[in-house]
Amino acid sequence: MITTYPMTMTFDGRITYLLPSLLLLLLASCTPSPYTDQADCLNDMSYSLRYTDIDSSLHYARRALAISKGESDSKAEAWNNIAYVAYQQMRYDEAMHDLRHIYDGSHNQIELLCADVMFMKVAQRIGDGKLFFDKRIQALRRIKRIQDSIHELDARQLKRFHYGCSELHIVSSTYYYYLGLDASAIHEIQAASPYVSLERDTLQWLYYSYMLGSGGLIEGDWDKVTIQEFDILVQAFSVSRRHGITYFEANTLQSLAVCICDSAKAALIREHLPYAYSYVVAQAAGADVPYGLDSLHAVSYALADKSARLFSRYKDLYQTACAERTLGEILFSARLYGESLRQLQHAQYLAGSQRKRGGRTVASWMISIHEKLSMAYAALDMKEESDHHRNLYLDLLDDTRQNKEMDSRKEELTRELHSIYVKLLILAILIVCLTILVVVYTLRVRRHTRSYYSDILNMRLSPAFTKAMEAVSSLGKHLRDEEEIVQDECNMAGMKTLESKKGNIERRAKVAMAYSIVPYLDRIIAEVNRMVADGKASKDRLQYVSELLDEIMHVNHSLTDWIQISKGDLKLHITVFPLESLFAIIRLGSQSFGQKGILLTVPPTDLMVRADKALTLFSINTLADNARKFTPEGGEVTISCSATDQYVEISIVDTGIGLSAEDVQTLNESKVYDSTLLGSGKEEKGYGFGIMNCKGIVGKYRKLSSRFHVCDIGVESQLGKGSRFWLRLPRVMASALAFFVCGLSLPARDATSYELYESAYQCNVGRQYSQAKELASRAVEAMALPPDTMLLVSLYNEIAISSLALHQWDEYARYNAECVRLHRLYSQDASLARYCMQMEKTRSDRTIFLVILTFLSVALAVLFYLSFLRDRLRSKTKVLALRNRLDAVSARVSSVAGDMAAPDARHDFPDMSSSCNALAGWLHEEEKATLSELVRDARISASVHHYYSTLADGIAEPCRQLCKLQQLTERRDRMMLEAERLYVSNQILDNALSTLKHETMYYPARTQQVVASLTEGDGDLARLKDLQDVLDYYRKIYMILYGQAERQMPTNAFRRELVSVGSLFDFAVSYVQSYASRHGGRPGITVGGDTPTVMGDALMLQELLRHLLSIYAGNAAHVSFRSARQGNVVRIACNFQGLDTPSPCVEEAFTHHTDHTSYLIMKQIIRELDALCGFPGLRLEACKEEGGVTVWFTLRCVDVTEQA
Amino acid sequence: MEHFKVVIVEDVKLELKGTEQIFRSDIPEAEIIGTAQNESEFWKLMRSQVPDLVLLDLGLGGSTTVGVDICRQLKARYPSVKVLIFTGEVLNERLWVETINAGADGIILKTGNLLQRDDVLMVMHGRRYVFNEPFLERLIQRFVRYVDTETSKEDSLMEYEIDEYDERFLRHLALGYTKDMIANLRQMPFGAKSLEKRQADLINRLFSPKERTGVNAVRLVVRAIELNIIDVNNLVADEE
Repeated sequence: MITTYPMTMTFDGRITYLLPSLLLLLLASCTPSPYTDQADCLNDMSYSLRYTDIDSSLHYARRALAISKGESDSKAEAWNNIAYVAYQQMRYDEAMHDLRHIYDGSHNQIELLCADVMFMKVAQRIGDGKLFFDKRIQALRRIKRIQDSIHELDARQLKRFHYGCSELHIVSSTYYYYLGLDASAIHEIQAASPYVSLERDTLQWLYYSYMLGSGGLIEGDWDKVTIQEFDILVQAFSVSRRHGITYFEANTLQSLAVCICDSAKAALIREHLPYAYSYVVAQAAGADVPYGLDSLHAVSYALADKSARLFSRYKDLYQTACAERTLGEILFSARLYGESLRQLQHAQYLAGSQRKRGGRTVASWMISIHEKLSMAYAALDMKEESDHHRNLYLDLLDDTRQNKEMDSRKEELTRELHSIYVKLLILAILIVCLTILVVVYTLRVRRHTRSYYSDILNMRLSPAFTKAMEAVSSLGKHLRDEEEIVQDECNMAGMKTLESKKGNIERRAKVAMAYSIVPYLDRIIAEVNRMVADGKASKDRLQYVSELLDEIMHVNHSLTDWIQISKGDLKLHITVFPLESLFAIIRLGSQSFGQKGILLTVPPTDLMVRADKALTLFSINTLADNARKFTPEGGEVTISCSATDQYVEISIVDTGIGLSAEDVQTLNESKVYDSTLLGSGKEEKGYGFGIMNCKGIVGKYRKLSSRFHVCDIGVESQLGKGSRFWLRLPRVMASALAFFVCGLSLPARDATSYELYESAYQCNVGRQYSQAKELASRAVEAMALPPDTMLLVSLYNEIAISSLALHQWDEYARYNAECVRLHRLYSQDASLARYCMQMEKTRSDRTIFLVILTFLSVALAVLFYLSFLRDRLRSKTKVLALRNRLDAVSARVSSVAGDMAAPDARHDFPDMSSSCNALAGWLHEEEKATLSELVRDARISASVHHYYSTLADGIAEPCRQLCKLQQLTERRDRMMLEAERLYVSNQILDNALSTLKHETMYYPARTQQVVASLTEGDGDLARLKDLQDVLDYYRKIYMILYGQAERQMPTNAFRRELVSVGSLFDFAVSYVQSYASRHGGRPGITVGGDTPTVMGDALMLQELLRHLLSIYAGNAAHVSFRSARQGNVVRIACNFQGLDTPSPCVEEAFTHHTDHTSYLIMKQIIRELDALCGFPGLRLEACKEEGGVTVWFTLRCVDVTEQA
Repeated sequence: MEHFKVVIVEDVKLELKGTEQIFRSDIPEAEIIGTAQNESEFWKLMRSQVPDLVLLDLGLGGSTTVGVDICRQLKARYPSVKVLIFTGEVLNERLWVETINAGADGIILKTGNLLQRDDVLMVMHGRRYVFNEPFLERLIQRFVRYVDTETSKEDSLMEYEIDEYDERFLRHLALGYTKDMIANLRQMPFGAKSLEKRQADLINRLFSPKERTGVNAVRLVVRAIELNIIDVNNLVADEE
């Protein structure tokens, strides 16, 4: 410690006897004290003993601590006292630990102030500048706070406050003094003066006086300052000696010793303060001093030695070592280098022991010891040791540069600021990045939004839309294909209907022909009856009967021929089909069973059969109808099927009334029977015809091929229990910064000076000290302005070293001091503390700035979001939602359309039509919903509307097509149904006619035989009666079979339509022309006359003309049609000219004698038209004319206005 | 009976023969002044000599109903000439009615005993509606059935305890009136609610328990028609 040598003054004093008296004094002062609190008293004891007996001080402090309760102020004071003891004993960590108890446990600002100050003292010793300043700032704040309420403090608190304040300023002064901030140090010590007074606090006054007297803190001329300082020291010494305050006695003695050691000072003091001087010298009397010391040095030595002993007794290792060092200095000054070295080595040893104790050493302490050791070794020419200590000295000096602490503080603050700057920079970068991101994002969002917008505007280019439109158009195409197919089917059905109608009219004609024998038969019967009534046979009558029978046979013959001719005209439509298709139709009829209270059960089946579908359905329906008819309420009808390899047997089982054994036999075996005779009751009759028809159908199958030989029909029944009808059919077997490194631009070193310094250094190393000193001095002189302080320090150091080696002690002291001063200057900045504070302020400003910046950024971000982004995001969300919605709409459209156009879709046009219309309706609703929920923009709205309407338009076409298809399929189905019904009817009529023919063929011939024998014989009455019976039976059978045939003729086979005669003529013309083109241009045709509108079935009218023309077209040269209206009829005459056969028979053209069955069919058509129009009296005649034949007929005219 | 002139219109020769024979053997008073096989022959004949009686077959040539028209024309031109229809259309009742409407004095079906002297004479004596036995049989059948239906109405009204309000309610239901409309009728002193009850009650009366489920107003009305409670041919609304 460089600064301690003014204090080296030794005083050999005995204070031992003073101690008890001092204690008594203190205790006495305790008793009358106003403090009742014992702890306060103990604390006072501890405080008063701190500079006298450190152990007792500790003892009282601990007692005070022990008895103080809770978080009382006395506890904090006790801790302060304990910490002070630890500080004095160099247990710095413990001291700090003790002080922390105060921060933790007390709110007493005064004690906290004292603790802050104590911390400052510790920080000063351990060299923690940051801690020092932190605590100093804290302490100053506390003082300010306490001063605000100073009038509230009691006397004791006020004393403690004055203690704290004075201590703060003295410590600060000491600290600044060591930092070389002399002005600050002086300022601080002056600031302390108001708080100290000898009366109030002797100890604090002594501290203040010692510090003031130790030197450097009084401004003024050297001699005045020296005298003033000596005076102060002597006063302090005498007070401390009088009060036995060992610590300050020793300190003042040490300072006095140092003062007297300086011969100049000693002479000045002897001159100006002779009494004080002699008082001090008297203190050194009788001391044991080394040999060779002059009187002045002897006094100095004696005083320092006394000081060392006092410190040793006070047990202050630090100060003891300092006193030893002072002794060394005094001996060095007396040029007793060996003695000096020994003394210094002892001091080093003491300091070393502190290190051994594990405590912290005080760096400044060691610095002075090493310097002095270096000098001592140098004086003894022990160069290596000297250099060793010189280096240690310089190292320590460097380490403990007064403002090393400040530097570190500055560095720390700089670091902090740096980090704040870094944080700011990062924040700034972040903000910039964020801003960039936000901008980029915003642009993106805008671009996206714009693109979404354009997406929406171009939604009709979207894949979903395109797909939907494709689906719709493919549906349209699909439907067009379907329409074509259905149209074809329609045409086919039309043709089938035409065929069926043709066939039907022909069969009607045949039935009519069959009926034509009935009048003959009736006449025969009448004749026979007459004969029977007469009681005898009449030849004439028998003759007439015979003729009639011949006629009947002729009719039969003609009918047989006709049936034979047209045989094969109507083929069975044999197909392979699943029975289930028929069963499904039958199940539809279960309602009619339900109405009657009968349960119809038709279990599903997967069997396949080969048969005529329509006829099979007819058969099953017929049998099921029978079963229904003959089953009472609550009964059951089951239609099921079973199979063998060969055939499938369809069973119709009822729980009805059943049939008698005879009826079963009749049904199974007879071909013809009187159905009215079957069954037991009047209502229950009628099994017959249906089964007969079914049998006829089975017979047809059997005649077809051997494969159909398995076909059969039968019945099993028990009267009252029910029946089972079965039908067998052939079976078919199925199968995701750069930091700017602030280049510390070092100032370009003065090359020459630096080179000289290098040389000087080398000279010093090479022990060429005078040369080194010469070179270094030249370098200093050569130094340019402004000087490079660091180089200057180094040069002064080199000069000091060389001076040291050359034993030029004054030179050394001067250059060393200059070196140290410059060293301090170099790293010191007068405004460092302020700078630090400024930095602290900056730090907090920066922090606030940082916080504000952060807050602003967040606020900006939020503002940005609220003002811009939210809307954008919302609109993006809406746009996305809209897009999704539109896509979903398209998807639905394409899905619906796709499903409908799927090749395996069921062609249920009404169903498709309703789903298509439902989709169109949904589109309309969806558009309204979308526009109201998602769209505010007019442009978008228009686009969305366009989108929807395009889809709607697209779907409208299939809707129309489906509507048309629906109508078309209905028409087709109606025609199919008609054709099928007629087809079945025709088949049944065939059966009926065939049965009629077969079953009655025998009778006319048989009757003829009887008649012949009657003619030959005598006209036996008995035989006449037999004849009568046969004829009755014949007629009965005939009428039954005819009745069956007639019932099979559908009453609604033909339609009432308005047909223009012109169109009939057109038909005729095209027919004839077509015929003529195939037959060499014959015949020609002319048409003329009225062409009114007539009523009738168009197909039937065409058939009429076709048959008419077919008769003579082959052999006529010309055909002419003339029409003339006669009232409400139109007479159409067809004249055939130039016939090949000159005299065709036309008289009996419309009877069975005719040459052309076409005549008969024409007759039937006219008869049907007659019935259809409800206008009897239509004519049809054929008559021979000159060179030809005229066939004419009338048709019922309809005035269109009348009809309307 | 004095002699009278007859013209026979018949297109089938064999039948003509038989008919002529009947006249010859059974009706000596009749003098056959001509026969015609078709319409033109007949009118030609008529122009030459007007007979007292025309025996007319309905079917001639290709036409099966031309006789009806001939009869009408004949009665228009020659009101004094009796027309007796002699036809084989033994099943075509509609044609019979047309014939009667055309003014024929009688219809003889070509079945049974065919043409009888009595029938011809009755016509000649100015009787109208002379029909032979098969015709009359059918006529009686029809008449009996009609009368049966008429009487069954009375029976039903009694059996099902139908009062005049029930009948009026059912009749107006059949005419498509709603219950509110029926309730507003002058002679219907019931509200729509009680008509609901009446309907339910009618259903209970007219249907067996098994049949009652699912019966609506239409079915009820149809049932009433079936039971002749209301006459489908005489559905007239009450005057309001």
